[in-house]
Amino acid sequence: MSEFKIVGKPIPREDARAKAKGELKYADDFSLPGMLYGKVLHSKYPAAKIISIDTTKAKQLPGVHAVLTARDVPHNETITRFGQSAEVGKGFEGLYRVLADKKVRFRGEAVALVAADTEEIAEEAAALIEVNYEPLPGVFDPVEAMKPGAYLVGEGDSNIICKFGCSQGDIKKGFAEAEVIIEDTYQVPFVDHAYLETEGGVAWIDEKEVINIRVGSQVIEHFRDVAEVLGLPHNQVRYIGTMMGGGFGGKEDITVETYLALLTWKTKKPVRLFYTREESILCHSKRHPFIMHYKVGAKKDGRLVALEAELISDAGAYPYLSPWVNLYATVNAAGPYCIPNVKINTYCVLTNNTFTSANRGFGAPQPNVAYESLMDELAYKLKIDPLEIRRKNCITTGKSLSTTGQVFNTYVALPEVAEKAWKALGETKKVEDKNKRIGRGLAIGLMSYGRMTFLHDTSRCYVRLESDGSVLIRSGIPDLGGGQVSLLCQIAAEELGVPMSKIRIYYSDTALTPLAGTTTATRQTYMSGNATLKAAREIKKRIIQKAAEMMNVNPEKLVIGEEKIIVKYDSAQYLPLLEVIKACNTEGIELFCEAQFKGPFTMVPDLSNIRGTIFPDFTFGAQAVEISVDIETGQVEVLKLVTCYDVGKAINPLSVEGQMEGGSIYGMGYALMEEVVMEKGVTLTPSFSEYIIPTAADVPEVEAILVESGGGLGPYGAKGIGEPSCSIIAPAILNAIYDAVGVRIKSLPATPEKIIRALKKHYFEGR
Amino acid sequence: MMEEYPIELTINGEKIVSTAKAEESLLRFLRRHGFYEVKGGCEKGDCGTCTVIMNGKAIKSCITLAGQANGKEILTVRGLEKEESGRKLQESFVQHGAIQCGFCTAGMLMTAKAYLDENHQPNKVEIRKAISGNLCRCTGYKKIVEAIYAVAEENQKSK
Amino acid sequence: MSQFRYISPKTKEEVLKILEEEKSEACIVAGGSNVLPYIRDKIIPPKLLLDISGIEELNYIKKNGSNWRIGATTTISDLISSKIIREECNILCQAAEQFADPLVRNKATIGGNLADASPAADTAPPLLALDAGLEVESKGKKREIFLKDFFLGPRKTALQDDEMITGINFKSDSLNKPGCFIKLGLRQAMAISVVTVAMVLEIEENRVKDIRVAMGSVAPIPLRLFNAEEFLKNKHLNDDLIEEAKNKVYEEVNPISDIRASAEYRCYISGILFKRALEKLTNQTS
Repeated sequence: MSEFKIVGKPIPREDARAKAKGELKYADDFSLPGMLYGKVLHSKYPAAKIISIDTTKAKQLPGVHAVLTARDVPHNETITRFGQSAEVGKGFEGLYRVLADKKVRFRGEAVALVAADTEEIAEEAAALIEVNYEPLPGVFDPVEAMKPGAYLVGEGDSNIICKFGCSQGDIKKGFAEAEVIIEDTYQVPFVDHAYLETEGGVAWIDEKEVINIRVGSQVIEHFRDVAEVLGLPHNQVRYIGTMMGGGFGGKEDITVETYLALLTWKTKKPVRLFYTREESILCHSKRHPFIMHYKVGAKKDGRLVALEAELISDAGAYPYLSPWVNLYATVNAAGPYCIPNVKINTYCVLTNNTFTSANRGFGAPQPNVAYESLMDELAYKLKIDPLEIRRKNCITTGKSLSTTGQVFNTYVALPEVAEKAWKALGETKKVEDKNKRIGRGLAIGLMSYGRMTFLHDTSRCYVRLESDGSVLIRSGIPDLGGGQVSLLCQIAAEELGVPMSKIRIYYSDTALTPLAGTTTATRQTYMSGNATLKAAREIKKRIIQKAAEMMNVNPEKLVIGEEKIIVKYDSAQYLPLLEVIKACNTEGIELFCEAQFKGPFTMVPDLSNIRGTIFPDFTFGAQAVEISVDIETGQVEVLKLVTCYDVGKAINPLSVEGQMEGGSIYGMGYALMEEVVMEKGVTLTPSFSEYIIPTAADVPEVEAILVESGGGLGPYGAKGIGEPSCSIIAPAILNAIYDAVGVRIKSLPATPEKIIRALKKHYFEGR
Repeated sequence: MMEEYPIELTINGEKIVSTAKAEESLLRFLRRHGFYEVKGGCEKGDCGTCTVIMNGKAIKSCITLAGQANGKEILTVRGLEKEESGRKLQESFVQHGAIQCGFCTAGMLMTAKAYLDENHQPNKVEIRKAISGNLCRCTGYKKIVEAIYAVAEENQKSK
Repeated sequence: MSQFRYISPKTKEEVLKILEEEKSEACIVAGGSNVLPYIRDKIIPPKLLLDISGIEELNYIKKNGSNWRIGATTTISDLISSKIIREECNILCQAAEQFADPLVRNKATIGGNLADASPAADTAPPLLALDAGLEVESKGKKREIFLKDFFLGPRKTALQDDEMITGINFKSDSLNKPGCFIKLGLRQAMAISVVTVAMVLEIEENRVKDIRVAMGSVAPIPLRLFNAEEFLKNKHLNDDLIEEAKNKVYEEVNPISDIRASAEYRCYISGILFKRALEKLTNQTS
């Protein structure tokens, strides 16, 4: 690996310095002369008929420029997309409604929009809009919502928006063979992404009549969706994506962009609209709550023979990406285990809760909680070591996924990562406190990186070698903080033999940068990394060809590095890069290239029995924790956390570790404290004092162990890590709680109260 | 007793003479005056992204009235560069990979600066407590703690 | 539309004069950590924001013989960095160190924390356990309110519209060294308490000579547990007695269920924390 100069090195990110100096301009750090302020009027009921909306008073308020309702939106109802180019059929099409019309489906739904001279006036005007509601009963529990005769959330005849299945073997036969069967139900709650930057941006119309939207978005391809809402040609809407203050899937759907576009279109003035924290928690997507009923059967030696699961998830009020999330959940439902007989059924149901959609892990973290808890239960029941039972059953190279049957032909690191993570816990910590019990937990998992193959994913990148030896990159890649942009610089620097300081990159602009696809699905290292690699290598090929001619050597003998073209094994023989560039330019040899990388393409699967290749590849990992539980208060302290993943190749180890460490704590919050509490559709945790995430004082010692098998589909054999990194820590913690105090917490978060109620049943029963 | 009142303060060494609205937070005042490096994350004191240093103490500018900064010296992340201790912290954050999305960084650096100015030999547990008013959703805090610790260690050595 | 107004007097006298004129139209701002969120949530309608953070004469920590006086605008950080508080009134130091987070502590004041009258106010239980009194002033008038009589309900106090807290006082007696404060929250910083307990205790030959105990987040107001105190006085401490005392605690607390915890859990935890405080203090004194 020593041939790399820049790749594989823990170097500072391209964007780090500007951020450290406070110079980076996020979405809100921008204003235009004459800018108006936008405000959204949100529904105050989770379910209600809109009898009438009177905007007269709001419009009369001095300083108000526009008050818009559904009837002002040219195409108020379109289809939820997330940047895909392939047709995927009705099974995945959800309604995208810009403003509530006739009926509201969740508390917080946008009912009207205002633009005014100041934020205060906009707020006052929104309060002057008179909406006459007739409250409706609504339905808030997905199980209730599934029943015949349930209140209908939408306009359809059922609340079930999708039903997926997949199976292999013979489930009846499997359970008949089983010597031990465990059955249980697990529940996970709504959670928020809790990025520190809320949703927002600034929009304006330029002299070409193009609506420009400067916004933090993971999917700048939404420019097409915004254009369709306005009935404009796609090329009349432009997204200028900013570096995001966190995304985690919450900026994957359209958030405020349509509102911005409508307001600027109607007023012909620049408009700024930013959500407050409360608005953000109230009305952007949440992670899907799931109710998961599982049954597993095993032989006495611990070998799994059957797994049956029924997953019911709450889509909230609109589908958004629910079908996709549920597809991920279905594929992940049997975990990383070889099980001959499997049957999974997944239902996703509309309710009058806040809608759910993408959240880091995209449907994987939820079933992981269930199956990894059950594996642990099985291990205890059969008195097998937690590591041993996983080693015995996990998928290995050449084996296949038990849900879809997708075969793994590259290295499957599960046994390796499981062992490394478990062993790295080291010696058990001694705790003096007589009320504290120590416990350990392990969880393993797999998660896809790259989009579902039937979406026909592509990414593009433009690279140009300048006449002075500097490099310019243009890529539509959005950066949500993971270092996506910097990664492309590193690849180009490596391939073209120039230092990072000579790279300039323009990113995330739908008009000027080649579209690179979404920063979702842990796909950018893989997809845009490969597109950049392809473009840079094309230029490198031309440079080397020219240098070979100039030096009169075989091009295969030449390498590029440190701004030189060098003869392999003879570093004294070289040409400066500049000289070769000059020669190329003189002869008109193109030192620029726009390349496209295409992922593998497959057909849309049969959704009632999803089989075959659905994802390009998977990342394998294991997480282990040591915790203490206070047996009198139920408080859990995570003492040590080990996260071990096969990342293929760590292009920037600092960024990869950053994902693994950050993902672990993101998952720790899910396990122990995070929940958007909704009571009959009303959010009871509207701010960061109620919706709590871990602080620095809550985090344990975290150790990230990187395995680099080189077996990934990304550049240099890299795999994706962003989402896999957070997806199995919750069950590891639940397993550690069981190990410490012998109670199995089956619904997240594992609060002190839940633990105490389980530990002190007698005390609480009488009360 | 005015809805708008005159205010005079020093921001990063520069004197600002202006007016503030009665209920205006220092955060909003700073951003209105172009100090966009000070970020708002919750505007209720629950996240720490808006942290600035006021007369040597790190505070949350969203729960500080602009008027409370009258006559005071404010330091934001863009003023850090002027002091060696500030530059060291900035560079350490960069080198340690302590910055991901960067939205908490401006506040986190200010907390770290004020803390290290008063505490010369902190251990990592103490650093974690010191930054416990600044949320970070990306990093899991590890690299931030390492970055601050490295500066504290370096300061010790150079003494 | 009515507007907020702002004024930042430099002396206590000015403040009292304005309060006399404005009465409920004025809203005192000290640290700002409660008031600004209330403004954003429109809990406080447009008023005169009367900023007392700059009044130097109200920022002090004094000990004269056994008499302690703490000024209303003394910040929580001031309490932590005060050597005398740390050494001689450690219970207040313990509470201050678990208060919100280091940044909020730099602004939040002891007077503001009490005036806000949250059942979860972290400085209230230790001050109740110290049997503190509040120095309350209005134009030309001074009075003292015992802290135990000060809280009337969530965000309701015995303060009149024209009054302000100017200081807090308490006496050093044989009980308040070192004292014990325990907070149970759902995370280690920036936590609103689920339950807190503050206790001072004097033991003589394993007998409870005297005790004062208060709790937060277990009732509509920060609560002194007089019955539990009386029950323990003059009794020999042992495990059975502690269990019995816990039952007195259960009778005395009256918590609510909210998103942080249920009433039942709070009640249960109040017993646990009460026991822990007792154990901690008896271990320290024995």
